[in-house]
Amino acid sequence: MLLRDIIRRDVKISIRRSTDVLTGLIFFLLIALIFPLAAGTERDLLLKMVGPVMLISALLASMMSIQNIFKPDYINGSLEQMMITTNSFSALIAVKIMMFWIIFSMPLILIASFIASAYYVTGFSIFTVILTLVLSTLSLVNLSAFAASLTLAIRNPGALISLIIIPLSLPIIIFGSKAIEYSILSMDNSGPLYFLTGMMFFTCSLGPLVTASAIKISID
Amino acid sequence: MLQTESLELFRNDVPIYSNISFNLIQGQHLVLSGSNGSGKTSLIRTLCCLTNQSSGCIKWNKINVDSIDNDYLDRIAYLGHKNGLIDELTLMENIEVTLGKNFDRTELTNLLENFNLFAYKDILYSNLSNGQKRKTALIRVILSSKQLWIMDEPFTNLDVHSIAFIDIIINSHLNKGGMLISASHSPENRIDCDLEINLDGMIHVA
Repeated sequence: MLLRDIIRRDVKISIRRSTDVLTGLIFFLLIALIFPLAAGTERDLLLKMVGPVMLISALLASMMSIQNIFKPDYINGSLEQMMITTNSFSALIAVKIMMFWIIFSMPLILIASFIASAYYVTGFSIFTVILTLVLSTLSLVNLSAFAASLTLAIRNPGALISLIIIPLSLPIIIFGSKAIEYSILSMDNSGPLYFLTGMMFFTCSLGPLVTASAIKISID
Repeated sequence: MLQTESLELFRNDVPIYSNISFNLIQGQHLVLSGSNGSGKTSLIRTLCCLTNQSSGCIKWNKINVDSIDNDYLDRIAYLGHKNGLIDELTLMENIEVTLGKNFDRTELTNLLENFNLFAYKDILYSNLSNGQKRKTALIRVILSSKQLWIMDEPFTNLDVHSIAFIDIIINSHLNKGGMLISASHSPENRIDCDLEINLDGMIHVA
C-alpha cells in the first residue's frame, strides 16, 4: 500500500466519520470557552489563564479523540492488512499520525486562535498562541498515538490512556503555558519555544517507531 | 517458492502447532485442515508475518522472509477471519481504497457480475450481508495481482454458486503460476489441492 493511498483513505474515512472529529473539536471549544464565563471578565486573570487553559483543553481533546486513530482499523482487521502490505510499517504509522494531526489538530488550532480573543489576547500574542499550539499538539498527538497503540487490545482503555499520556505530556503543558505567558507579558519566550520545538522533533521522530512496534505486539 | 522448516509456536508454554515443514512451488495449492482450535489460524498468521513463530523459519525464494532484502510482503495477499474492510465506505470505495488506483476495471466488473454484487457496488459496506462482505474481501485478494494468496476459511458464508465461481478463479490463478494456501475445517467445500497438512494430530493439551 502506497503512502499516498493511506492519505486518501484516511481523508475519505474521516469525512464519513465526521462526528468523531467534530466531538473532539466541540469539546475543546466548550472547555476553552467555559473558563472566561466562570472566572469573570477580569483582564489580568484571563491573560494569566489563557496559556494553561489552551494547552490543557488541547490535551483533553486529543486524549478523547485519539482512540479513533487505530481502534476502528484494529477491530475491522484493516490494520493487519496494512501491516502486511507495506515494508515500512513505521513510515505508514507516521503518515497516519500526521493525517490525524491535520484532520483533528489543525481545525483545533484555528478555533483556538479565535477563542484567544475571549481572553483579551491581542496582536502578536495570538501568533504565539498558534505557534505554541502547533508545536505542542504535534508532540501530544505522537504521545497519545503511542498510548493508544499500547492499549489497542483493551476493550475500554479510557482511564488507562490518560494515565499514560498525562505524566508524559507534563513538560509540554508547562513549557507551552510559559511560552504563551511570556509573550503576553512581552518577555523573551524563546527558551520555552526552543524546548517545545525540541520535544516536537523528539516525539515526531521516535513516536512512530515506538507506536509501530507497540501495534505489532498488540496484533500478534 | 515458499519453504518452511520445522515451524513451531508456543503460547504460554502450550504448543499451538509444531514441526510444520513444507515446500510450496508455483502453481500449487496447500490446504491446512484440522478441527476447530487445531492451530490453522495461528499458522496462517505466522505465514503472513503477523505472528512470530517460536522456532523454525519461513523462506521465500530461499531467503528468510524477515531479512531486509526480501520482497515477500509484496507477493502475498491475505484474507483473514476479519475482512479488513471499512463499514463507512461503499463496496466500490472499499476496493478502491485498499487497492489504490492500479487494478483492472474490466476484471472488477466481471467479478462483481459473477458474484451478483454489481447492483450493490454503491451500497455502504455495513449494509451488506455477511456473504456479500466476504465476497468483497475475496475480490480484494483476487484483484491484488499478488502471487501467493493466503486465505483463512475463504468460504464462510458463501453460497454454492459463489464457491463454484471461486473454484474457477483459483484454478486460473494456479495455472498462471500463482500459489494458494487455504485453511479449511470442513472437507466438503474444499477445492483440489496439491499438498495437505492436517494439524489435528498435533494437538497437545497442557
